[in-house]
Amino acid sequence: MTPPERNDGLDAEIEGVENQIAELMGAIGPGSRHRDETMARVSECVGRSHSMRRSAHVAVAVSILLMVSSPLISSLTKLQAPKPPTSEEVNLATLRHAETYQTSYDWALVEIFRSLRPKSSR
Amino acid sequence: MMNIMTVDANFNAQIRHAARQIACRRQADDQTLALAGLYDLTADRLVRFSVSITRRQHDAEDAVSAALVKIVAQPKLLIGADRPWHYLLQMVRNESLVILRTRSRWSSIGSLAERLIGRNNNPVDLRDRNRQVWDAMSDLPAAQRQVVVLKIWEQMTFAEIAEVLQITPSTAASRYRYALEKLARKLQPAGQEAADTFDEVGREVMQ
Repeated sequence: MTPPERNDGLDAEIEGVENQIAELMGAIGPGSRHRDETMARVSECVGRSHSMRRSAHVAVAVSILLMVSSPLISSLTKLQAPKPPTSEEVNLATLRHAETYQTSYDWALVEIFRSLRPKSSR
Repeated sequence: MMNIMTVDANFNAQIRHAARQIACRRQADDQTLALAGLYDLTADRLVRFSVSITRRQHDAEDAVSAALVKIVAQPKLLIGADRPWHYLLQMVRNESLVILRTRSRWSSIGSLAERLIGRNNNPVDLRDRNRQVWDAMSDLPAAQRQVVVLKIWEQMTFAEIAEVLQITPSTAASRYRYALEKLARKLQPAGQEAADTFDEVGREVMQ
């Protein structure tokens, strides 16, 4: 019979400790300023993350704008290769050259063609 | 049992609702206001749980604040959790452990600074009659203290405690038993303690 009494005693003791701990619960809690401090901290963090998100959005928008506009800009600013002259223009230039240098039309035509060749091929 | 489960379910539903309120707000001020609801609902209990890990009032408060900041940043974590209350407890536990690790690095400087500024770290007032109980609890290993707090203050089952602390239910139960036996020895009245010592001496003499 002794062990059950011992167990009963121990159980009663443990129950008493449980009650004491349950009472302790009321003595522990956040301080009076904790709520305000937490709200301030949250507000600051949220504000910071919002501004970071806004900056990220702006950065994305700018990069998309650049991606879209860069082909347009390059096409606008690309140096156009000079158009080859028409036969009439060549003819007129040849006549002008022949008259200026007092040469025959054929030689003037040779000179004109030479001048129209791309420079790298010379 | 059914009643506890209903209360638990209601509390989880309230937390989920508060998290939804935070999630649906876009402006910073609105989100902070929405968080106030969650704070009022949970902060007392979260700080109490955190104190059982950090043993310091302001560390516990810091841990709870840090967890709530994370919730505001990602309220979906709480909305999607199976049991938001357990999830919140786990978050606070993680934050408390992080603070504990950081504190151990700076403990000497920190304690000196706290003495200089006269900051009180003890969660229970010196004059409080519960101080003796808190001191006895503080001497327990952190793992046992957490189980005791979740069992007695949060009225959790060992299965629930196991889920929060990521241990097995039997480990939770044995930690609880060991902790209460230690506390019973420490908290028994001085006369009883002397009687126990006398009994032990008597037994030794008889042998």
